[in-house]
Amino acid sequence: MNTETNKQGRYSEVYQLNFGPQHPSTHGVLHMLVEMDGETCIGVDTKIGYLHRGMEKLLESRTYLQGLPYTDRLDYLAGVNNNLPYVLAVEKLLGVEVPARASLLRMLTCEIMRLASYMVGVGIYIMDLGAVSGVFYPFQEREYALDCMSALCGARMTQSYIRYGGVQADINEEFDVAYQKLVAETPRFIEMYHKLVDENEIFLRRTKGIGVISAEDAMDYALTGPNLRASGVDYDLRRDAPYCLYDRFKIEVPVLTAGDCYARYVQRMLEVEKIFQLIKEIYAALKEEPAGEIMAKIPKVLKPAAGEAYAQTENPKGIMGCLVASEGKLNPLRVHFRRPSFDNIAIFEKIMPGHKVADLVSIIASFDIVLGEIDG
Amino acid sequence: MLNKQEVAAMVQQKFRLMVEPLPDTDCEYKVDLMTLVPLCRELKAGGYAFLADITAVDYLEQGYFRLLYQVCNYQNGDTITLKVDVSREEPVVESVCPVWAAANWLEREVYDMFGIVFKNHPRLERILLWEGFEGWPLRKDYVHQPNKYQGRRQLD
Amino acid sequence: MALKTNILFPRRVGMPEGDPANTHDLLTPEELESRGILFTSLDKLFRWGTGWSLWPLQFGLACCAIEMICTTQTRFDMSRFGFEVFRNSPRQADVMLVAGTITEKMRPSVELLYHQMPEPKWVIAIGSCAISGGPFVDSYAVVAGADKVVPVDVYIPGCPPRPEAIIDGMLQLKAKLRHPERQKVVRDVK
Repeated sequence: MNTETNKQGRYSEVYQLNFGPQHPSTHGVLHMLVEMDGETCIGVDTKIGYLHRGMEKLLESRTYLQGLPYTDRLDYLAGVNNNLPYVLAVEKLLGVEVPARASLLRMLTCEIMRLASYMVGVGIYIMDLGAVSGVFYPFQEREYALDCMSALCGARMTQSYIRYGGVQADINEEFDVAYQKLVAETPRFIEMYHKLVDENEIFLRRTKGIGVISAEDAMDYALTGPNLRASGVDYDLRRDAPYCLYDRFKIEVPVLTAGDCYARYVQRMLEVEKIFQLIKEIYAALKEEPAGEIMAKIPKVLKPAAGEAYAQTENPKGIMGCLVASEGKLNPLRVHFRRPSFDNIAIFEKIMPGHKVADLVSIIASFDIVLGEIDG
Repeated sequence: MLNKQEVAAMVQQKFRLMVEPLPDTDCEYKVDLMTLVPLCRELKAGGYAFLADITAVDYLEQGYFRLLYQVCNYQNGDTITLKVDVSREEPVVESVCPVWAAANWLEREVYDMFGIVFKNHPRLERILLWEGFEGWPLRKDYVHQPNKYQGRRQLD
Repeated sequence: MALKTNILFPRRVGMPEGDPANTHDLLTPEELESRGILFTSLDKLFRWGTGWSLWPLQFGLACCAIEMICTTQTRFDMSRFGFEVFRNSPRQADVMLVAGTITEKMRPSVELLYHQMPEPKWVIAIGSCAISGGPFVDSYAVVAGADKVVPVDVYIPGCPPRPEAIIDGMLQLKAKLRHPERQKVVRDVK
């Protein structure tokens, strides 16, 4: 290794490295302009917008029901979770009371898709660090979760299952079969995956102490979701500001303090266990709930009252917010989404300098970003 | 650490004429342009460390942009909404970047989409769209001219 | 009757006409094929081989990329058909899977990637965004379909298409490679 420095105290001339937009470990079309000194990164300029589809503008020209499927395409790993804040915000304007059964179904599907999203998060992380076999098992597990959604509403990824005033369909026998399969497979998967990854020497070397985020920085940069909780801030909207019927359940939130890449991985794996517990509890509650309405009485043509409504939900990637401004017309005046990945990656410019270029891959992957959500 | 009632009391005490609580709402305030940054500093000191969102709404007929700030508290999960009206002719607002680092990208996004200028922002550039894009797409009076790669195909 | 002269096995001198040992010069190409002897042109052989070993470019744009990854994973396993070697560099790939929305900002990169791929090369457009812009067609930032930027060989509809559909699309490309004379795919729909 070259340890001699030149007059400016550098190992080499400062040069720029283009990382992306087409790169296997940028999870899509993220582009980073990295200033390098030898192998070390000294400055990062994150360039986004390569998947900016102008969704917020399009929603202004669509009616409320036409606009709903667009939200699935934001964080496409967990479609249902994106429907929820938009629907909640519109329901605030409509003043609709949602039936309890529909709320439980919403929570159940959200948790199932949260599990599926975490599977992609940990699986792709391991793959980006070079262990290709680490991605097969989570994706297999994800298929069981997608089977549940497929049985429930027919779509694998972009479901649009949550509708204004309720949900699209009630659970059926096919769902029960898929659900039993999911319940049977998940504990085995969790145990196996811990054995496969947790103690792996290469994995530990590439993640421990890399990309450390202090709790103050995490709060200042408005990190949310598992990335925030891995830095030692105990904040989960499902418990702290409950929506739907989450206040009926005891939400356990694991919190780690290290704040490095390894902590973010362990945080996700710990949360997978809690999510799995929650899925079972919600399913049991749903079975006890008497069969009844899954849709509230809402008008065929939606014309919410004029005003601005804001709703927040806890999504797999962090806190998703949705602002709906209405003028009492058929289409909204303005729809805005707070997209958690967008806010999460703003901290890259602060934490990346000082790391080697291979560590950048580790940091990006540990954040579990989705470009559809970042660019909107 | 302030909860919603204490915030209301603090606003009454320190910003009585400048900040107006909106009736029939859950802790929403209409904030004067000049008071925004001092109020944000007070909120941050009071435990509201989480700036969740900055966005804008274009009220073309009324002739102003409304900026919405969502500020949350990590301890009790309270959310406070600040609404700031800016005229369409001269859309300039003081940046809250010195208060919350998270405001950096959020304000850049608002600038990108609406052309609202944030004073004292460290780097006010387009973030989602590319350099050289003309116009502010989320303004209501924006008219899009499709180029040869865009637009619906015309059926014969 | 096909021409029955055989240049590979010239008639043995001194054999009487109609001798069963002389059947080799009476066989049609089909009969020879059944005995393990093939006649083909080099071009056909090349296209046959390519069809079994397409190397796609690992290039995801949006939602459809996740289904593309699913197709390569355990349940659907595209390697069964010989398409599993996803290359990260366009220099080593010969199929471009446009999986997702092409935006105006991404368009130059897509063009560049296409031109960096060596000939011969093919493009598959996955999902309605890559076909025509899909639900985002009237947006200010979206290119209305991959075929406005690069020539597309196979379109796979869906938003996003299921992995089975993606596999079917790859097989369609293979069929196109093996039978270039076919102008379009005609299916038996009963």
